[in-house]
Amino acid sequence: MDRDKLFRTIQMYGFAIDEIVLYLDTHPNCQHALNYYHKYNELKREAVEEYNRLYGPLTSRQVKSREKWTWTNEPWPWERSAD
Amino acid sequence: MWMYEKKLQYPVNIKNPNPKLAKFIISQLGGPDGELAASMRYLNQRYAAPYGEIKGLLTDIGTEELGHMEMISAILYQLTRNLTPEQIKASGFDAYFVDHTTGIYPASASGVPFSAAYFQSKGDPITDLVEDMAAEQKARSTYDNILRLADDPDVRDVIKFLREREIVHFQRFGEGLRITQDNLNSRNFYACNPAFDKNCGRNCRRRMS
Repeated sequence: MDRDKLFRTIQMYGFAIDEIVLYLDTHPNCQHALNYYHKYNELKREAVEEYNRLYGPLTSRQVKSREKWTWTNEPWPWERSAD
Repeated sequence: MWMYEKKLQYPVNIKNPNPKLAKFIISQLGGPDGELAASMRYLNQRYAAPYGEIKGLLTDIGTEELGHMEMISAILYQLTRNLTPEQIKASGFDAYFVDHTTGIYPASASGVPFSAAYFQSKGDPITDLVEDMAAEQKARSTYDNILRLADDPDVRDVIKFLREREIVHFQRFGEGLRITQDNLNSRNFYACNPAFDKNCGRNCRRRMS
């Protein structure tokens, strides 16, 4: 998947998880919400793994390179409108 | 975007409540050289940082300071557990108690509420980084003062850890300042502001020297 498309996908999965986490905080026994949480957590994990491998880290703990510290590479999120 | 981890950076396990200590340790939460001011200073300054290394440094240290805020709050929480009204009066914690009970509120040791006036975001990386280095030293001095006053080993252990982090951050900011200056005109670092002026920096240096 191209970089922008994969990034946008991660952003959508991330927001879906943000939403369901708040809902689960006040509805901890909702099986339907818990299934949704696990589904999107797994989808996001796979997408982030692919992004890290192809394009770079989204957190300082996802640097894959053994040769170069890529965490501080530009651009940063506030510098590109796509973010 | 930030993610929360359900753990402290360094453990806080205080066996004996002691509101006398909480009365001055609170300054490292909401005081002029406290962790909240530190975090807000760095996270707000990031947008004027002209190089990836400085953006990373301000992001990562600003994030760590949020964790330190939580550690100070954990100390305050544990020092003010299970107090009787008599203990509150005898310790002088009554002035805080009447406004906040034992809730955690960012204020200085003298009771002044937290203020954004404790830090600057100048939009000039040399200015900001020099402030950041001074801020780390001011926080280190505050921790030294706390160590002069606090006798509980459980509290001292955590304060010593936080004090060391100030020294490490000071070192890293010094390196950040060096990286910034290496990108500027070596004959006059102040010839232009890389966060504002066009063509200020690497190209500028080549042209001007």
